[in-house]
Formats: sequence, C-alpha cells, structure tokens
Amino acid sequence: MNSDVSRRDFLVRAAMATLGVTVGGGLSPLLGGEPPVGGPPGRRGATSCIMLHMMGGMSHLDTLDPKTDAAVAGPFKPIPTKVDGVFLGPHLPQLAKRLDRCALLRCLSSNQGAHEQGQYLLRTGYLMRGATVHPTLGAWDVRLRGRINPTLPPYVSIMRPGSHSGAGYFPADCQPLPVNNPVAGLPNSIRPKDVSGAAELRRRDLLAKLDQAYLAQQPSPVATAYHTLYDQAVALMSSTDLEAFDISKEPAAVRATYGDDNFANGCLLARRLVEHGVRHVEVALNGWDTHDDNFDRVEDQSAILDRSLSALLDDLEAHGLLKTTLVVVVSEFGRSPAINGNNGRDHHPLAFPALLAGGGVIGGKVYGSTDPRGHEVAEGRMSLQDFQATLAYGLGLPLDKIEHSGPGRPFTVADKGKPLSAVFA
Amino acid sequence: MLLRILIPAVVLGLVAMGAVPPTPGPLPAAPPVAPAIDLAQATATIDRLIDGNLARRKVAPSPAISDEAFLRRACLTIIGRIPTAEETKAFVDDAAPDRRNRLIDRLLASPGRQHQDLGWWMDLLRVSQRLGDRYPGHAYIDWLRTAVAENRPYDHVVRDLLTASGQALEQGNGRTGFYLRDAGMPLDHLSATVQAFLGTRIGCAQCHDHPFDVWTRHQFHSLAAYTANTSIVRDPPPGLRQQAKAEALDVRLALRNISNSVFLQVKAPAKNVLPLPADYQYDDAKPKSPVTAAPLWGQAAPVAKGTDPRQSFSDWMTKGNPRFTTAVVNRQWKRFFGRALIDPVDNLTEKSTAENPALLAYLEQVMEAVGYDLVRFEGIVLKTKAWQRTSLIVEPGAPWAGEAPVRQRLRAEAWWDSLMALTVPDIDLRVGERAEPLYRFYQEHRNDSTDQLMTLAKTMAGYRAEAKELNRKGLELQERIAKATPEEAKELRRQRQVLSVEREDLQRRSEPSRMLTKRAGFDGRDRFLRAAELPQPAGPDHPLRILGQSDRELIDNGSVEPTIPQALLMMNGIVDRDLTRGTSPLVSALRAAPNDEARITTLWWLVLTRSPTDQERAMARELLASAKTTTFGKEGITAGWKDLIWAVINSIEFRVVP
Repeated sequence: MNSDVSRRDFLVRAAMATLGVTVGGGLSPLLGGEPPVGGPPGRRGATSCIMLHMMGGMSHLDTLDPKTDAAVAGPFKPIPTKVDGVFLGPHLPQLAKRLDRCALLRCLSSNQGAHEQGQYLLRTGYLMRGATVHPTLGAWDVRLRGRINPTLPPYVSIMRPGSHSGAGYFPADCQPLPVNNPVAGLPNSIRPKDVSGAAELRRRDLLAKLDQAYLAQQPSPVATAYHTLYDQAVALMSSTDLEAFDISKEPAAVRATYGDDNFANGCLLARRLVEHGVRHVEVALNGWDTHDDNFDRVEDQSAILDRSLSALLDDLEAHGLLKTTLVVVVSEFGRSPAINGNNGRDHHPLAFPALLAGGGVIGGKVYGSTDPRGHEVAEGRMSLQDFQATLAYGLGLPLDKIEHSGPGRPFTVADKGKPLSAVFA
Repeated sequence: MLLRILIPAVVLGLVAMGAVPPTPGPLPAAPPVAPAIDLAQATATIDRLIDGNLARRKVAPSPAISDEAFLRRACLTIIGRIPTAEETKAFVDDAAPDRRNRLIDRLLASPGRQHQDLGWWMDLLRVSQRLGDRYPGHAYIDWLRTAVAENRPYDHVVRDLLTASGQALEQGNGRTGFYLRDAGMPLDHLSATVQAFLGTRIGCAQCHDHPFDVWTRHQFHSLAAYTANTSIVRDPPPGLRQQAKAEALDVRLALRNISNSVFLQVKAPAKNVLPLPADYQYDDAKPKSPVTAAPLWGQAAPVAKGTDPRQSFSDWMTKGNPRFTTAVVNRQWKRFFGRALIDPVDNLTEKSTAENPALLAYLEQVMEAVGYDLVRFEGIVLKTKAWQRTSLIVEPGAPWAGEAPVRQRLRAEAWWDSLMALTVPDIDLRVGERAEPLYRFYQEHRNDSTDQLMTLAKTMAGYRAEAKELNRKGLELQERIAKATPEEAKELRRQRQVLSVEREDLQRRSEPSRMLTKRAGFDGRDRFLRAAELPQPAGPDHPLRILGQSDRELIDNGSVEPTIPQALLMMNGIVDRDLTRGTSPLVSALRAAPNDEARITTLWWLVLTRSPTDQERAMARELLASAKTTTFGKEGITAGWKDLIWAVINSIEFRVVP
C-alpha cells in the first residue's frame, strides 16, 4: 500500500466484504463507482481491459495483415471479412465474421527483435535498459485508477506473458496475481478443514507480532510488500467473489464455445474476472515463434485464437460487458516476409498489427497500412509507446500524470507516446 | 561499417573497467598464463581491495554477522537450503577458531552443493525436460548433473557444450541437449549463448544494427556462421518414412516419438559460411550473400576445410577472451552477494564499468588462476570478511560497493528446498528421474529393422489408445463419485485409483520420453524432492513455480517477487498438509524434546537457525496457552503446535537470506 489512507480504505472495503456487502460489476454507487480520471476532460475510459498476448511473435502476414503476393503469402490465401475490402489470414474465419466489432492497427513498429526485450517494451511502453524495472500497463491502470472490487486482486496475469512480473517500481498492490493454470484457478484459497477460525486468528496474531519484532531489528525491503499481499490474500479467502476464479462454474455450453485448451480456459477466466470487477487481465498464448513449419503451426495457433477470441467477444457482449471492456490482441513483433529454409519465418519488429475491440472502440476500422510485402509500415507508423498511449487513452488514464520510481525519477504512462484517439468513440 | 567491425570493441571497455588488457593477434595455442597470484592470499586480497574502496569513499563497512546468521547464510548460498539439526549441531560443536572456513569447505564438498549448482546451470541454460518442445531433455540434465558432481571446470563444460555432436541418447552424450534446446532457432541459440557465456546481448543485431551497442547485423551473422549450420537430424532406416505414410495417425505419431529418441542426433557443421537474410538492409553486403565466420572481437583460429568450425568458435570464446572471464566472475558474484559487480550481469558493453574495477580485475585473475574451478572460487570468496558482514538494503539502480551482500528474498528453489528439509529426512539424497531407461531404449532399438520399428510403433500406439480409454473411464468414475453416497464413493475412489495406476503404466510404455516420467504434479508419489530433482521445470501448478521458479523460457527467468498465490500456499497449503506430518524431521525433533520450553527452542533453531528471544518465547507460550491443547503426545501434533509452526514458517524472517 502506498499510504495509510489507501491502506485504511482497503481494510474498510475488506471488512465490508467480510460482512457480506457485495459489489458487482464495478458500478457500485456504494464505493463511488469509477474514480474520476484524467485524460481528455469528461471522457470515461473502458472500465476493464483484457490483453491477449500472442507470445513468440505472431506472423502478421498469416493472420491480421495478410498479403496476396505469393512470395510472401506462401500457401495461404487471405479471406474476406464482414468489413468490405478488409481481409484476414485464412484460419481466422470466426473472427472475420466479427471484424465489424474490431479495429485493426496495421502500423505498429518497434526496434526490439528479441523476445524478452520486445515483450518488455510491449507491456511497459519503455525500453528495457539499465536497472530500472518499469511497470506494465496493467500496473499503471491499477496505480492510476485503483481497484473496482475491494476483495479481488485488481490485476491478474494468466500464464505469464513475459519474464517481467508486472509492478516494476510501483508498490506490491500493483503487482498482478499470477495464474499459471486457469483450470486450477486459485489454489490454496480455502483454509484447511481442520483449522478453526479461532486457530487462524491465533496464527495471524502471532505472525504479526513476530514480524513486528523482527523488522524492528532487521528492516526488510520486502516487508511492506509481503504484508500487503498477506492482507490481500486474507481478504480474498473470505471474498464472496472467490468463485470468479473457478471456471468449472460455467455452463458446459459456454465452455464448449471457448474450447478446452489453456488459452480457451484463460479467456473464459478473464471474462469471469472482469465480470466480478477485476480491472486488468492479461492472457498469454504461447507458440507463435514459428522459425520452422510456419504455415502448419500458424494454422494450429490461429484455430486456437480464432475460437477463443470469438467466444470471448460474444460472451462479453452477452454479459453486457463488451462496451466497458477493452479487448486487445497483440504480439511482441511480427514475422519476416521472407520464408526461410525451414519453411519458417524469422523475427520482424519493423511492422506488425494489433486488434482492438470493445471498450469504446469504433468497430470495422483499419488504421495505417504496411507495404505490399508487409515489410515496413507504409502509413501511420505507430511506435509501441504510441500504442501504449492509445491503450492508456482508451482506459481513460491521464497520460501526463507523473509517478516516481524508487530513486525518485519521474515517469508517465507510455513514455510520452502519442495516443491515436480516433480509435475510440 | 567496416571500421566498426575492425575496432576491437572490447579494448575500450576493458580500459574503462581497468581489467587485464586483451591480447590481440593470433590466439595462443595454450591458454594464456595467468598472472602469478598467490591463491593462499586471495581471500585477504579481495578484502583489502574492498576495504580500500570503502576507505576512499569514506563508507564504514557494516558489522560482521553472528555465527548463527553465518551458518544460515552459508547453507542457503552453498547448498541451497537452511541447515538441518545435524548440520547446526556440527557447526555449534566445532570449537576450532577457523570453524567458519571449515563449514564452508564441508558444505562445498557435500551433496547439497550439487543440487544448488545444478539449479544454477539449468537456469542459465534454460533447461527443460522437453527440449525444443519435442525432444526428451533428461539426458542433458544427467550430463549436467555429472559435470556438477565431478566439478568439471566451467570453461571445459562450456567448450563441451559448444562443440556437442553425435547421438542424443548415447549414454554420456547428453550435452547435445545444448543444441536440441533451440532446435530450428539457431540464431536465437547464438544470442542466448553469447548472453550466457559472454554476458553480452547481441540479440537485437539479429534483425538490425544494435540500437545501444556496437554490434551490427553483419557481425551477428558472421558470428552465427560458426554455429548456425549445426543440424539436428533424425536418421531412421531407409524406407521407414515411406512405409509410415500408409499408417494411421496414432502409429505415425508413435513412430515420430521413437525417431525423436532413437535416431536423434546433432551433426557438427561442415562449413563456416552462412547466407545473410533475404531482408538484409545495409549497403555493405547484398541480401543472401554469404558471410564467413568471424568473431565479434579479437581473432579466432582459422577454420580448416572440413573441420568443425565450432572448435575455433569455442576456443575464441573461452580461451584468452577477457569478457568470458568477466561474465562468469560477475555471475558468480551475483550468486553470492545478490548483485553483480556490473549489474545487470548480461548487458556488458564496452562502456560497462564496475563500481570497484580493481576488485573485478583481481577476481578475474583469481578465476583464471583456479582454472575456472567454480567450487574453489566460491570457497575463496565466501571466506572473505566482506561476505560475512550484515547484509545491506540496496535499491535497484542505487550504488553499491560490494562490501557486503545485498539483502534478498530466498530464491524459489532455496525456499522450496528449505521447506523440504523440514518435511523429509535426508532430503539431499532423494533421487528423482534419471535418463537410464531412455539410454536402454536407444540401445535396444538403434539397430532395429524397418519391420521391427513398425511393430514397436503399433504396440506403443496401442498402449496410448488403452491409456486414453482408461482416462475416459476415470472421468466417468469422477462423475459418478460426485453423485454417490459416501459409502459408494469410497469404493469408486478405490477403483479410480487402480485405474490411474494402470493408466500411468500404459502411458509410460507409450512414449520414450515418458518411460521415466514420474508424476509432475504436486500430488504425485515423489513430491518430496529437492528442486533440482523434480521435473524441469516443475509443472505450472507446483509450489515451486508459485514461489517463482524459472519457466526456463529465458536465461535466469526465476522471480523473487511476492505474490498472492505464495501467501495462500504458505497460509493454507504447505504447513498443515506436509510440514506437520508425523514423520517430518521437524515434528520428530519436537516430539523428542523433553518439554514445551525445549520444543520452542528447537522450533526456532530448526526453522530460523537461532534461539528465540525472551519476547518470542513469551509469545509462543501465550499462543500455546490460548490454544488450550498444549500437549505434544504420541498421537501426533496438536492444534496449538501447528499454529506455532505456521506462524514461524510464515514469518518474513524465514524467507529472507540473513
């Protein structure tokens, strides 16, 4: 916690939850609803955000920015979509039918061609250099807007999208809760049966005293973080919204539409979390690093993405959440127009796309374009800082609000990137 | 451009770092003669260099740590876990004036050290038991385990890895895993290799000239020309592939799995020329034009026609290459002190400077003088006064003179292994999976005819189908259990248990890489193992991963960030389920103690390696009194004691290196 006030606020909220005061959907007047945000005056951003990270470098040429030149396209033929004149890769047929609800940004460009650096830049909006560890967009979102549901963690990271854990130089309450296996949800979240409520209080009481005595002698940089997270864990255990993490509560028919792989379950979990007032969710889909067998592998990967993303958009819509939830599909870089000797494609950060939907995004639009080979951005080049700024704008985060890192250096969300505000209504 | 290549980039960096000057010109045939330094004085010299630096900066060193804190720190650092009761007793009973040094030597010679060092290698090399998402990695792990157990010099190990070739499952040839790890991605493999062993990031130059460093895309591909033609091939008997085409998918899959084990080999490259990428964008060369292998700086021995160019590459990297030594010294220092002399460890550039350049230069001399014997190097460093001072809180990015360790959280492995040391006796001797069944499988089938292989594939596919069927039945039982009466459910659960044992057996027979796979989940039979003995990496649900173990996707990808799942694991998972079992060393020791006062003392020593303070003793008594049932009978542990153990295990002190 960053201050006594926010800590007290948190405890009050936690106590309310314990007493059975529930908060649904993040619109509770009891807690004042959305806190006022900056950005353009009078504009409210999307309440929540679901970031779908295509890990390893999704081949833009075979998915969101297909080309007709056979030397580039290989065996793939683009397919038409619900938006006139806009085509997608051949293995995204479900998404093609829903493209009128999405915006395509075919103009991202970066100079980070290695996975770790690329993922870092994408998630934080900052270059990975020196000793400073920057916060991700999710951490900024929590930092600048706070939580919606008082007992659930505001930021959840499903299947670890990158080496970077999230909060960076922000305090532990901006740290995402990691979920490594979406089917297992949140393990150990229930007190063992043979431990009574009285015993639990005894334990925590002694623990607090032991830590206090120890820290008086041995200050520890992790102490505050641990206490924050223990408090949050305790709040979570008694949360009436705990079952947000349990996707087995979903009807079989709903689960079937998403599919049964990890990514499908991750997307479904993301919807449940957003529905219960989680601010920011990241879901990773691994396996896009197609240096060999690009076309077979992209076909398999696309099938997973196509089914789960389409199910997610429909499901959010059915729950009335699409209007307030910004959904983003993006990768750390694209892949080379040249097909290498192993029928694969290599890393290509010069030009790659992102897909945005929901959360005030104007559907059916395409921004920017690449050259006929998909090698470079031909118009509307957008740096990853600009992209980060665009997402931040979409979420209603103030782009000029200064936050300080540990040693006191000033930072703003998206590293002075310029938002493309036209994407949003 | 050419000029940039010709500048021996490292020269500038080394002048800035104050390290030994590089030796340009032809590479010497023998390793360079290390400057004569007296290794017996190395520990004292390191202290002198550190203290000299402190005096110049007018910084007072932090006080020396207590014997108890030293014991805990030494155990966590060298053997990767907290001390057992026996280890504590041996140290406390040792009245010799040099008992700290004796402890260090004892620990360095113990099996626990091997677990710790194997873990370090596996994080560095991104080792997984499934290499490149398809090949079994157990032989690689076995090879590293042996290298660590024999304490083979670091530079020898690196050379063996760089020049690996031959059959992947020939016993003793597991080093081939180094190349299998990045099958199909030779350029990424090179980036990772340079990052691991030279502490230098050249990955950006894979696609374009490096934005912050000097490396060009041309240089990257010139370097890659040494290694990138290493090929991974499967060489089944003639006609097998053709015959397989007529078979059903499951048989083809089985054949592929067999081929991935029995016929898998790494072939040394026969040329040192690599074409530039088709999208090469600079004026100094045409796209797709061939580049000949060349080192990043200095000179490498020319590659004779028809010989393995990786030999020249590996000699250039490891013999007389100053940055090779800088990188390993820097990484080792980080292991011991929590932070490197040049931080981060893998971003060395020509502009990098250490806070204490003379210290780094001297440590490099020591590393060369001990012949890259990492165990000996560790002993020299840990015996310093500097390493035995009270740890410091240093913010990331803040200056640090290296005068005492930086206070840090236990790494995931040390946290887990410490819990295991309290849960099962003789934890360092417990053994997980080994690759022997795979070697045998390879030996049995390497000379099989096409017909024999087809039969084998059909048999294995059959096992797989049976296992699937049993899985389906198991799920059916699961549904019935949910609806059954408690009596019926008991019987159904028994049936499900039988099914699951059978299914596992069938799965093991159905695929070579599963032959040795014990269950990776936390509830498997062999869950009480040290981190380095568990499947690599542990499954995503495993507590070790919750505590922050690397997923092995990137170099050193472990995390020490606190998370809510960790808090939940420690509060609701580990204590009541495992640690307080009647057979745990912790419970046994408590049971053996004569009374509650002695038990409180024992608990504090076993978990925190120190006596409780009077205040803590009073708190413990108060808790036991309020829990009412304070007896500690033969029937096991009572609620009050569980509560006490819970609180001590959950304390911040437990998870911080003192």
